Amino acid sequence: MDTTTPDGGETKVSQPTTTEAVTTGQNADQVITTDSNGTPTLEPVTSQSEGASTEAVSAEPQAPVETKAEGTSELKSWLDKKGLEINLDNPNEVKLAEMQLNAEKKMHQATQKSPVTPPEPLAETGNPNYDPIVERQNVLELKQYVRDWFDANPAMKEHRTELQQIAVTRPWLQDMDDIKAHFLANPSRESQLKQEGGREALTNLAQKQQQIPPGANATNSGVYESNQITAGNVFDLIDKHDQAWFEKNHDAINKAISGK
Amino acid sequence: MDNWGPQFKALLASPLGVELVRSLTENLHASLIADAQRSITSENAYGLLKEASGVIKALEHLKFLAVVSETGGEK
Repeated sequence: MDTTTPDGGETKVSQPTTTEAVTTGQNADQVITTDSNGTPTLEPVTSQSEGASTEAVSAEPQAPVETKAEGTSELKSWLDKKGLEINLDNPNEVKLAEMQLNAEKKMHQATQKSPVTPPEPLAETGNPNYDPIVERQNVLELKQYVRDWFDANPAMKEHRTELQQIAVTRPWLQDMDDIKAHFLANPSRESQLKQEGGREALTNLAQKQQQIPPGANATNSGVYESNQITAGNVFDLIDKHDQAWFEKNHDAINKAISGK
Repeated sequence: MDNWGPQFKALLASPLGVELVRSLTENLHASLIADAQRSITSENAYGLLKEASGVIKALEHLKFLAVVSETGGEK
């Protein structure tokens, strides 16, 4: 065991160390120190740099901690709204719940439509040179607004005529959304919808009844009716039978119609 | 019930009636059959032939109205 050499082979006090202050391009100043072997080394100035770095290190975790806390509270409120329970200590469950929350947010953003607002008309200047231009600009903007509104509300395109009538009879309505509200709130429209619904139901019923092959002839007794398809009775038979019969006897029907 | 038989008979015998029957038979009926024969789908062909048979029925009904008696009559 060598007792003459201190641990690590370093001499601490016996050999003096020289230092030279060096300022590098970075904020931390460094000094050149020479150790016992005479080897120069570059070491940072520890007293000030340590303080600055600790401040920076202590400041950084505050930002992610705050956002993480906000995100967790949002997730909790969403879970409460949905009536879901997860283990917040389990990072996998938290991650899955966050993914679902973000997906819902994106869905809501996609379904939200930016409202189309009526344009503000430009005021007339009183100058006859500029007023026609101002009026023309107002008309163009109004046309563009109506076009944009119908693009944003494509279901209303088929009711354009009714909306125009409402706009003409109620000139104080300047917003297409208000005109639409008047159109939808029309009490006679509800009864019209019911009538149309009823008419459509009756049409469907009639079509279903037509598909049922008649059990008896509508025009004449079936006593002398022949099943053979001839030119004389082809249309009568077509009228009495359904499409399945038509497809089954397609060739014979064709011959009869052609007069063969 | 009024008896329109003589009027219908006169109509069908008149140049207007003749032209009406001809138009229904040769124009409408024939075109429906031609369209049915050119149809790509059987549903279309069936529907058109149904319409053609409807034209025949309308013509037959006109002829029936022209010969119906005062009592109404039956076919």
